[in-house]
Amino acid sequence: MAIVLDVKSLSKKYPKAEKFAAEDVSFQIEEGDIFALIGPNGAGKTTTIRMIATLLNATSGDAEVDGHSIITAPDKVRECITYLPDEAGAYKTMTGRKYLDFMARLFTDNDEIVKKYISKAEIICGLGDRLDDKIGSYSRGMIRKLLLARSVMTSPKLAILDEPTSGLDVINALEIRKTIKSLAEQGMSFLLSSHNMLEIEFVSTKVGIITKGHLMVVGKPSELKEKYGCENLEEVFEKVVKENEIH
Amino acid sequence: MKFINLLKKEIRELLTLQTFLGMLISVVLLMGMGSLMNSTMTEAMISADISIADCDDTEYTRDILSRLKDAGYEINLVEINEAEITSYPQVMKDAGLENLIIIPEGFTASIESGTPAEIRTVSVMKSATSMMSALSSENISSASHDIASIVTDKLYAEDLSLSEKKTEFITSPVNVIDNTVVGDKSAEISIAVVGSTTMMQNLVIVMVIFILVLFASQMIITAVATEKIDKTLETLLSAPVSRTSIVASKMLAATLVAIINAGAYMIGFGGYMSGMMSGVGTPDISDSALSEGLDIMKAISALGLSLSPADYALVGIQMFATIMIALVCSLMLGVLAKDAKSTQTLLTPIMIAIMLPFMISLLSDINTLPTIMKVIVYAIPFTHTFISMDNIINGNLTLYWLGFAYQAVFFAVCMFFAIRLFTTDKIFTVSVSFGKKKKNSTAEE
Repeated sequence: MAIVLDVKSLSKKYPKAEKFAAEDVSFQIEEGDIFALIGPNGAGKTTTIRMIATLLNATSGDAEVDGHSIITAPDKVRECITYLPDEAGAYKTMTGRKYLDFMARLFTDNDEIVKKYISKAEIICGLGDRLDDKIGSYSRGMIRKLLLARSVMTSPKLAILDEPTSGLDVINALEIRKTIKSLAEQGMSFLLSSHNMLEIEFVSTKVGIITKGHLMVVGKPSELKEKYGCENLEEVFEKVVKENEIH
Repeated sequence: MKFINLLKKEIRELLTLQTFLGMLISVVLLMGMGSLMNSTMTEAMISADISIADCDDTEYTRDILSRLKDAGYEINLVEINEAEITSYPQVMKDAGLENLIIIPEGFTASIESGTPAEIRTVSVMKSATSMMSALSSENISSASHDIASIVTDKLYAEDLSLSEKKTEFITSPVNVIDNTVVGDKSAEISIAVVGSTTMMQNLVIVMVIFILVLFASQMIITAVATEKIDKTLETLLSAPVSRTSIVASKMLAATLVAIINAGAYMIGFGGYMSGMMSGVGTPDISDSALSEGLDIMKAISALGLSLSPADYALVGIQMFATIMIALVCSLMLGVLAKDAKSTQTLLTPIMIAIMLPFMISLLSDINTLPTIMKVIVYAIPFTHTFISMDNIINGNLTLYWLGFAYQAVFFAVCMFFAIRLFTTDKIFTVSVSFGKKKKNSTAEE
């Protein structure tokens, strides 16, 4: 399988901060992978994700998306990725359809391709006629579905989703997880972060546990469970985090 | 007790550091305005020293001047050869005067022969928007009327056997002919009339500038802050679109809306002006001001105080520069917002930077301020727009273009920093949070 994301010793230290928010983080994502970055609050998940999304400049290290460096070719990287921030909103005065059209036109000037992107998003979000309503009238779940559809409609090499189901009810979260899984089966790669271990276990093909800015372990959920002798990913997570606290 | 609990909570919510800062700024601003008014009043008082050219120079006129002094006037006697006066602007410039009362030769003879005598007043108008002109006009007007009263008193004392014709002469023995000088032009009209008319006309433009800048700033600060808070900015910045286009599109959109808004204000202003002017042409506002049949608008036009379309275009250019500067500064300030509440506070620096030159242009003449204050006020780029009308009216085009050049440089520097802010990760790592100890907050995880 082709490597879509290659993160090489990526580190970030914020101005005036004493410690690194993320230090020496390395991992790879292959085509069709759903890589979940999990960790407690303040572990460095969002910092790592934002560096890969070219929003934050890395203090050291590099990451390549489809062979393009986030340091030397961020513009090329932005053509290969889409990013869905945690608890992101959308332009409330736009209708769902107008929003999809607006976002699609940031990726292409071709009207036909724009139409294709919107039709794809329409199917993925499943909002039907509500797409013609103003986003301001949407529920949280509807906005999240719209944003997820926006993130994947351009078939990016890598879709970066920060807490894709946070704050959603069970049904909405389940639908989003299913969508991610089915898109990955079609070859799209995902980098996502989450607090929800059940979600990670259900959706991800690879997991990286990050704590205090360090990526402690990377592996398939089944491998990690076996390695740590745990029944579920939640226990693996607890063990890794506690080990890190002791040392 | 439950009510007290609720009340405490409400007070805590309302009495934040932001509220406190707002109060503090208001106090400082008001105190600043107070001291500014003080200097304005002092300036007005200084210019209230009356300069009198006694060209008649008789025992009679010297007595009038002596009585004026007794009435509390500070009189500055000026030597002017009446015959050599070719233009009032030149006379005032050569003698360095802001006001002058000329008692012409033959004044005493005229009074003694029982025919009304003339005195001429000349006032230099320095600002078309400031209240200074109105203040300084007060004294010369009252002095000229006091001269007439003194003559009346003297006539009463001299001759108590009054016929009807004599009574008419005694009650108004002096005709006051007012002249106003603006730059190198002069017209036979009272400065009070010119001042109030031009102030009404120009004040609206100044207020339009003030409202527009505030409106545009608030619009873009809120827009950027909302994008940042809603995280739509993160989505935009991770999309394959240049950061410069993001900044430029925001600026251009806000500018267009501001221009549409300016157009709406101008239409409203046009209606206001036509309404106002339809009432101005009628005589009876001031007989002395309209002496020799010159109506107000003609006089204002003769003084060069009515702005031509080209002049309006010049004001418009600086208004545009001011809006652009306000927008780019607001764009950068909007990026600092951490929550919806802080956006209002972030508007404060812009508000102060607009309020200061706005109030000063209303209350005073910037050139009369103490040097440090003058430097501070001129360093505010918005000032040059507020004084642009005065510069144009007074023919100070060099000052106008220097101001514009400064605004252009200021804008370029701000734009450079704004683009830099958007092209680096500072947009996510810099934020200002009020009411919390944490000063430099960064990405949360």
